[in-house]
Formats: sequence, C-alpha cells, structure tokens
Amino acid sequence: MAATPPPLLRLLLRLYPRAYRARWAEEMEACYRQDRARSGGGVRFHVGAVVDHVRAAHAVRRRGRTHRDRSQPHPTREDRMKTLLDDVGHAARALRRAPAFTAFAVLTLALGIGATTAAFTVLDRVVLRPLPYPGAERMVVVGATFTLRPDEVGGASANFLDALVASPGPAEAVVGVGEGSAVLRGAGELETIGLARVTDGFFAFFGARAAAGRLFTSADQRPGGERIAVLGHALWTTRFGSDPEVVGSIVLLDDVPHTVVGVLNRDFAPPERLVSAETRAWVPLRSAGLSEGERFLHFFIRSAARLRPGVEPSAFEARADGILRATYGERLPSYIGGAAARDLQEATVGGVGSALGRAVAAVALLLIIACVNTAGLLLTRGSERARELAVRSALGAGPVRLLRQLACESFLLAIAAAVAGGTVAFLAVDAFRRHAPADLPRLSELTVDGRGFAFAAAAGLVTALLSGIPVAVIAIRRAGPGVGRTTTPADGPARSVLVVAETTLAVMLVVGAGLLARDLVRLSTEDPGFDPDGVIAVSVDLRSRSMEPEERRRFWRALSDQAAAFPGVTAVALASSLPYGGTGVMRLGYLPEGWERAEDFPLIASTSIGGDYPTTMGVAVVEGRMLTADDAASGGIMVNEAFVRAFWPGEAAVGRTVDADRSEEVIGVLADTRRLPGIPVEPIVYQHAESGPSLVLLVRAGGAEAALVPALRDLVQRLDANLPVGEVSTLESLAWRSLARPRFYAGLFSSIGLTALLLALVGIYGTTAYATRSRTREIGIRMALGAGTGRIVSEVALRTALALSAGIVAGLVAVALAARGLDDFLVTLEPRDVSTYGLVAALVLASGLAAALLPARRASRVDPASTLREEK
Amino acid sequence: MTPMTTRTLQILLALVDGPLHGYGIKQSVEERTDGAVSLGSGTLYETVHRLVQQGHIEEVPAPENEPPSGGPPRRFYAITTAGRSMLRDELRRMDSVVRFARERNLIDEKITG
Repeated sequence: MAATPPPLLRLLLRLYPRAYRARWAEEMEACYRQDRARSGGGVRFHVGAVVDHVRAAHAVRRRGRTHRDRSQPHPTREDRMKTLLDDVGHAARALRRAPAFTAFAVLTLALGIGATTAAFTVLDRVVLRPLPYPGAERMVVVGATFTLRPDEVGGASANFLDALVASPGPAEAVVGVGEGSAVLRGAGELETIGLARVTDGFFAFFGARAAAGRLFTSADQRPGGERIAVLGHALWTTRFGSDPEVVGSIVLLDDVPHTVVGVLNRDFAPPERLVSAETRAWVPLRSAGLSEGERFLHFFIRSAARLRPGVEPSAFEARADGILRATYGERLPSYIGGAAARDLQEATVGGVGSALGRAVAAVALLLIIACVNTAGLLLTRGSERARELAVRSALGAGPVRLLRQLACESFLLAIAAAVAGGTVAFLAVDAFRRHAPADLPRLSELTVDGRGFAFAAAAGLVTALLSGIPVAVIAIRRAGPGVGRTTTPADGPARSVLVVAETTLAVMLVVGAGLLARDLVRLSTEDPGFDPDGVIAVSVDLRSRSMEPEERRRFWRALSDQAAAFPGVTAVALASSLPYGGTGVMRLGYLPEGWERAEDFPLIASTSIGGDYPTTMGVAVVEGRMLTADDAASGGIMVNEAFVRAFWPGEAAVGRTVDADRSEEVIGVLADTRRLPGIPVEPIVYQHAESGPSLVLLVRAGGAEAALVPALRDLVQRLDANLPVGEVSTLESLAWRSLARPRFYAGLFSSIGLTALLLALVGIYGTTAYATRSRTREIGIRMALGAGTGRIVSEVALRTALALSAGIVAGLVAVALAARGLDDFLVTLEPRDVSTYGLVAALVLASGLAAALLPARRASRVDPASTLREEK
Repeated sequence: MTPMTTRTLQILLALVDGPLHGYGIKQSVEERTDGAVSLGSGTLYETVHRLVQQGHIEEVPAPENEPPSGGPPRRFYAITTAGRSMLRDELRRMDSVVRFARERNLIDEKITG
C-alpha cells in the first residue's frame, strides 16, 4: 500500500478527532481504496465519499462530546484552563530541573530587555513626549540669527520683540524671557540665584499657576512701577519654609528691594530652551524702561510664540524676519543675519533626539543578541530533550500539545526576564539620570513609568516568540519519528548561523563603543596648550556690590596680592573667563591692520587677563611680553597664535594694530590654548583685566591645593563679607567636567558594547560547548582510532574561526555602512577609523576563539572508553 | 429502548455467520440488501467504532484460512454475546411489528392514511 492516503481522503481524515483518526485511518483507507477501485473512482464516488465522511465525522464528534458531557460535568472552558495550568506547571518543573539553563536564559534576556526598556524610557521621556504646555505642538522659538551661527535661533532685542508682539500675524501669542542672576539677601545667608525677567503673558503662555499670591499682570510691566518679584516653588520651600506669609514681604535682589507678590506652583517647568531650570525668582522685564542702547543692540530675550492652528513655522519665520528688517532698516547690526523660528520641542531636544535614537538602535541590537543567545540555549536544550519529547510524543502528546508546552517554557522565561528586565531598566535609568550631563534636556522628568514597563512586557513577549517558537518547532519535528534514537540530527548549520549572527551584532556594537572610547581617550589626553595641574580657580562676582571701577581695581589688587602671599603659591593671575567654559568671552567686530573686512571672522573672541597669567597658566609668550596695568590705559592688547596665523601669517605681530572702538596695539603674542576639548583654536584678542565686575582669580600652587581651597574662600569673605561665595575649584576638575558629554556617550556605548561582547562570547562558548559535547562519541571513537588532541582542537578552532570571520566581516561592513550615525558623537576620530576596526576584529576573533577552545579542549581530554560505554 | 439504526442492524446481521474484516462487512451488507443499504468507508467505521465501544462487537484475531491481502494485516470483528442478545431483542421487536401487520393484512394492501 502506498505510504500516504489519497489526497482527498487525507483531507477528509482531518475532520475526525485525532484519537479516532489514529485508530481507524488505516482501515478507512483500505476500505476507501477498494471502493474506489470497484466504482472506477468517478465524480459520483468522490462526492459520495465527501458526504459519507462529513456525516460520519460529525457523528463521531457529536458522540464524543455527549460522551464527555455525561462523564464529566465541567464546561469545556474549565477543561482548557486545566490543560493550560498543567502545561504551565509542567514547564515550571522543567525549568526548575535545569537551574543553570534557567538562570542563564533569564539573566541574558533580562539584560537585553532591561537595556532596551531603559533606552526606550529615556527616548520617550526626553524626546517623544510632548512638552507639558497648552498648545505645545504649535509653539515655536523665535529670535534673531547670528551671522556666525546662521542655523541657531538666538535671542530677540526688546525693539524687535515689542514690534513682533504688537503685530504677531499668524501667532496667537508671543512671549520672551531674559535670563540672569542676582544676589538674594533676606531670610538667611547671601545666595546667588537664577533670576529671569519675563514679558507680559509669559506665565499664562506656559500654563503656570500661582501656589500663593498672584503672578504678573500687564500693569506690572509698566516702567517705574513698584519693584515686584514672583518666587519659584523651590526657592519658596527651601529658603522660606513654604510660608504663605512671604507674599507681601520684601526681599533684596542685588541690593534692590522687591515685594514678593506670589509663588509659582510646583509643577511649573518652563522649557529649558528658553530659561534654565536653575531659575529661582522672576521679575517683570519692563522692556519700555530699558535704555535705547539696550533695547536696540542686546539680543538677549529668548522668545517663543504659539502659532494659530495650521500655520507652518516657516510662515511665521517669514513674518518675523520682515518685522526685524522693518524695525531696524539700515541699522541692523552686521552680526545679525535675520530672524528664524523653529519648533519648540525640536529646539528643546534637538540633536539629543537623534543621539538617543541611535542609542536605542544600539540597544535594540543588544536585545537581538540576547534573543539569539537564548535561541541558541533553547536549541541546545531542545537537542538534549529530543528523547524526552520523543517519549512524550509516543505516549500520546500531539505536536500541538508539545508545542504548547515548549511555548509555555518560553513564556515563563520571558515573564521572569521581563520582571528582571524591568528592574534592570529601573536601575539603568536611575544611573543614567545621575551620570548624564546636566545640560541634557528634560532630565528631571526621567523615570521608568507605565509606558516603560509596558514596553518591557512587550519586549519580553517578542523575545519569547523570536527565540522560543522556531526552536520549539525544530525540536518537535525532531521528536516525531525516530523514538529513542540516541544521536540527534545534525544542527550544526543552525549553530553556525547563530555564531555568525552573534558575532556580526557584537562587532557592530563593539566598534561603536571602541570609536567613542578611543575618541574620549584622545580628547582627555589632548594637549590643551596650558598646564592645568595645580591651578585653583576662584570665581568672584562684584556685580551685586555697586562699586566704582576704581574700587573694583583696588579689590582685585588686594585679592591678588594676599593670595600670592599664601605659602605654596608660585604665581597668581586674573581672567574674565575660565578655560573649559563658555562665559566671560565677548565677540567683537575687530579689524586687524591691513584688512578692510575680516570676512571669515566678523566677530572675534575677546577675553581679559591680568597678573602673571603666562606663568600661572603655563602658557608661553611666543612674541613680545605680557600685558601690564599701563597697557590697559594706552590700548595695548595681546593676541594668540591663531590670530596671527589668520591675519598676518608668517609676519611679526608686535607693534601692529587692531581696530575696534579705538586703535589698539599688539604688545605680545600668547601660545594657543584650547577653550574646550576637541574644538579648534580660534583667534583671540586679550585685553588687560583690572577692573572688571566679574573675574576669576587663578592661583598656581605647587601641591598645596587641598589646603588652599578653603583658605582662598576665607580670603574672599575677609575682603568683603557681603560677597556671595563663588565657585572655588581646581582646573583639573573643570577639565574633567568639560568632558562630561563625550565621557557620558563613551560610557553609555561602552557599557552597551561590552555587554554585547560578553553576551556574544557566552553564546559562542555555549554553542561550541554543546556542539562538542554532542560529538563526544564521535570524538571518542576518533581518538580511540589514534587522532591526537591537537587535531580535534584545531578542527573545532577552524570551524569556529570560519564562523567568527564571517560574522566579523559582516559586522564591519554593516558598521561601515551605518558609520555616519556616529559622526555627531566623535570629536577627533573619523567614524571609519581603520585602526579601531582592526582592533575590534582582532579582539572579537581572539576572544571568540578562546570561548570556543575551552570546551573543545575539555572534549578532547575525555577518556575514549568511557564515552563509548555511554552509548549502548 | 430506541430502535436500532438500519446500519447497525445490518452490520450485526453480517457478523452472525462469523468474523469479517471491515470491507467484508460492507460487501456482505450490500449483497444482502441489493445495494439498498450502502456503507461508505466513513459511515462503516463510524458504526463499527460505536459498536466496539458499546461492546456489541469486538476485534478478534484473523482466521487461519484468511489469504494474505498484500497490505497490512486486516482487523477482523466478531459479534459478542451482548451483541447477539441485542440483535435478538431487536429482531423480536421487529417480528411483533410484522406479525401485527400481517393480522391486519397491511403488508400487501395499500396503506392510506
């Protein structure tokens, strides 16, 4: 008889319950064939057969149902539930019997799920979620653009903003805020706080409400009115003990009395793109009261507009640009390029969005590695359990039942992994928040929430499907025929694919991590052009003290002289800006001698230095000499080497002039120093610092920094007890801080890359270990026949090396194709840095081989006799 | 007790003379009824299955003289004691019905009604 029933019958047999089919199919088939032969197998026969079997199958099924109903009064749903519970119980027992496997699979998946969930949470909270303001999706930032940075929306001047507010066109509302700081006096010690000046309607625009008292009204914007302030919630709680009586009281801001009219609600968080999260108190901007120069020249008001529904930012931008040009006409300063408007959310999260998107992509690769790993584990376990499955299949468990049981195991693993992964995500997000650079937007909102946990659960489910089901299907196919067979069909190809896949993914992630890590190393070992070792910086701000320039000059001189007298101090200097910092640098329209227009540098950075700056900072004077107090009066300046290279290449600079408000003469040239790591040195003009309102005292101390820090703090207090205590820190710590962002990304991607490598190695180890174990018998025989240990090991090594090489090549190609994605993160390296690629390839090959050779050596050391005895 | 279906009755009758395999039952029934009762492979085994479950017929070893069929060994079925007694009950019931009909001369007349 033919091996398979005729097609029609095969179809019809499916109508019957499985058990019935198992018992009667053979006889039905014999009968069917004889009938068909006798009738000639015409249409009539086939139609009759269909009717016959449909009727019979219906009868069998109906009887089966009534039969069961009579013997067992439970409804079938409970039946199914019981089967499900049985399956779950069985799966749980099976997992408990293999604790190493279970722990390993859960751990692997938890890492993958946890990392993905954490990355998703950060992306979701920082980038995807809309800003919490009414009509936020229609909000734009608006302002002037600077000639030097045409892509960046800057601030607005009071003239420009007032004109825009008066005629907003397609915008519903336009508001602005000027940021600054003030020394707060009253109720406790002196404190420098962030103080913001806001235009009319600012609070309503962002949906702010008062926790006590009131917020500003239009009347409060009139110049000459009573000085009033609104306190931020944080200041109110920390400094005023949440006392509602503070409303109506007087506080001193930069020595000017202000009446507190209200306190902001706790949940008010203005967009960080406009105003820093450090802002503690608010006052009306009162733009009408500003001087004409301030109104005209200072583009300091960061502004936002809410557009009418359906209006594109570009339409509003055109309007704003028109108003700017109409307001200024011919008098538009040369450093202003025009006006621009950008979506507020985009401007707030900006490049961070794409950075985080790429981190999520990297982490998703990690999850795939975890899935591949788990699939490898399950495959291995499936092979080991082939006999168990075969026995159970022989005892009557159909393929669906077996699949359900194996799927149950996968789901139990996934549930455990999702729970563990949620925990991992929670810890990871917490670590992220603590280590992320403080200027990352919306950082304070960051925590794993319901959406995050839902994501973890979904990731777990996907993981179970991806890693569990295909493997279960393979295992069941294998379990079907060949009951009790002791050798399993070869799954070598499947294992090679797993090794290749894991290697590919790991190489991609490790190359990414390697590039960032090497970039960081280069940045932190880069020569800044000065010697930060042993230098202490003390920031002192005299702006709250309403001193005359002459008083300030005396103050700085006293401070320098007394600091120089401390034991261990070798040199002292003053500067208006710190290296590694952006503040204290002005950009002015200098015109170097011999130039009609400095087109490439319409604005040149200018900063002030004084005292023995070259010795203190360890910067060489390459030409001429250091500035003195006399030079300040006669208009003497210094420039850096980059300035000379840009304007007078190959020529002497000393004695030449630079025109600004007046003609200034170059007295000396300083060696180039970097303001920020990785940023090219730009031309700088150095003025003499002697009477500035806010300077940094730089002290070089040969090894006595620890004692000097508190001494210098005391010194400032002794000179003026009413000064707020500024920051006292070493230049080294500032250098460390300036690398926060590169260090953070390098750390983030390194931890992803290392986790990926670790998972891949463990996966390679596991698959090779299993492959060699399942070949123990073969190896035993061959060794009994005289094959040496070396031969066996080198065979495994060759096979693994092939798979690894394929994975490495695929990974390098993939990462080279995706390399542009890393461009923004890298400061000093190209994303296709050949040496990094080579290093990673060597690392992965070596560690992969090591992971594979461990089990190979063990397998080759087995006693051939004992392995043969195992096989009876 | 509900009356027996025609198929059940015919299958039991087919086995009265000794064990038969499935296809043999089918042939016997169709010959005896001149094809009026036809058993498809589905219906045949549905009924056989039910009768086996109810204990009215049972599977028995193949008789010694059975010629080899070339395929897998055929299964033979024989009527059990319980089967015979049920068949007897059914035939008696039918007998009383027929006798009643004869007394009223119903069998050869046209029944109207």
